[in-house]
Amino acid sequence: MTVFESFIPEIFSYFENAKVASDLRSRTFSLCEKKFRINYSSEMLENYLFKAFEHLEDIGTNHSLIYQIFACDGNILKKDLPGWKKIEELSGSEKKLVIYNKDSLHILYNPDSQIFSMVDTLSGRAWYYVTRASRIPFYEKAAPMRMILHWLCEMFGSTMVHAAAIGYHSKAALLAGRSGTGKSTTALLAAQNGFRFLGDDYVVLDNSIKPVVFSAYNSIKFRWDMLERLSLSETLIINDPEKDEKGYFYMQRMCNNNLIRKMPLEMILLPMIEKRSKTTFTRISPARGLLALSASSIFQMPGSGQTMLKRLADILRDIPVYQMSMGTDNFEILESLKYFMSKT
Amino acid sequence: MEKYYEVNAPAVISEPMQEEMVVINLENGCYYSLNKMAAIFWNQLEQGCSVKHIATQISQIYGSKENLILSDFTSFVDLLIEEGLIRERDIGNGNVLSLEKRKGEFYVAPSFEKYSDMQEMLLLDPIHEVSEDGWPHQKKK
Repeated sequence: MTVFESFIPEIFSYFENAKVASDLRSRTFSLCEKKFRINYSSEMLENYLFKAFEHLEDIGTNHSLIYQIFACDGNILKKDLPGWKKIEELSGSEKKLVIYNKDSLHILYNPDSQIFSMVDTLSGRAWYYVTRASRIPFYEKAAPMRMILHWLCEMFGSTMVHAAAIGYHSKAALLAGRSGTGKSTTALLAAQNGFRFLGDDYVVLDNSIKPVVFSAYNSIKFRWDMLERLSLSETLIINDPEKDEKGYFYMQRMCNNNLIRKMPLEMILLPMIEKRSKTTFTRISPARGLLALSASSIFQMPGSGQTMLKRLADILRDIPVYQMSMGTDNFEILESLKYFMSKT
Repeated sequence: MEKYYEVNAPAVISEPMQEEMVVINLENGCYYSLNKMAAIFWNQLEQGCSVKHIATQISQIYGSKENLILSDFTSFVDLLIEEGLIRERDIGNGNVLSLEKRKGEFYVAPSFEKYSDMQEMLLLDPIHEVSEDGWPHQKKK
């Protein structure tokens, strides 16, 4: 894909010029016990991008590794990124994701959000560009810079996965499976009722010593028709049902005390909404757990493929997997889950 | 003439998990859980063994009839090809299968469970057909 190669030097210059031209600010976050400094060009980007990370804000921890991310929008230099039209052409009339990987450089262009993400895994630096900050879609605000964090996590041997994670009695459970199986609803109900919360859609797994789940975002998305069941205060909700298909809010603003940055991974639950009177847990093969977690994660992180599958298999080999067939009564589901997690 | 096969990489990825094998077809979004015998067979195919060679060795280890096993494996190869998971290759080798069967364990024909709940997502145009919830959420018709 020579189009990127011809524009890469200009793209780097563009970002350098944008840094100089902007009223540069920075905030530091700690993800997987690694320090990330995000330098950004405008207050608008701060409003849209950082709420999901706020619970990870670094308050002077001792982690020495620093990964640098620069984020800007097209308003700073009053022009698009070099080669923007060519990149859009590559995406084609079908408007597909454009991915470029060469040596340590990884690029993803998403024409839906018009977001360009680039990571150099050799230097640990990343660049994030959006045409207009005001156009950042709600799903990006709920889980910003996902591909950049995914690539950086890969650098230090951790893996970002598509799953929710909750904790109880110092044990974390991953809630895995494709959208619509009840992951978010279970995670939210649990977080409202005494469980610890690590994430709704994306969390990071690390197996350096023992399997551990790290929190990445404190956002929770929900279907608008679930609003009544979830007893959510309307003041928490960020977006509008008239505009966005799903609602979202930040757990940081709801029950800050339940948020936790990491916890040992002890089990994988594959929730399934069934009209049962009682919630049941059935142990199933680890291959089913790997399938559920890897399939949805790999399809959510384009280009991750075999590396992610192998890494997840290594993490999950000794973790028990259970099918969680849920009843319809919230109280019963939560009491069953508490009992199961405390006894298992 | 003996036939050799290989995994249809890079579209197909696989990983052993205890006694099973997890296989994902990134092109069509289908994913599979292979049973123990299918996992052994898959592993040997990957190493370049011919179908006949694998059947002979399994027959010796499990004490089952070789022609029955060969017939199962030949049908299974057809199925794997039909699913786009393997392809023919020109040359192979005759690795010796290092496998010990457990006491009381019998030969069970190779098979897989197929899951296609991701397929609908993957076959979509990644942008036009997705909802504002982002890839891979399908837009309501």
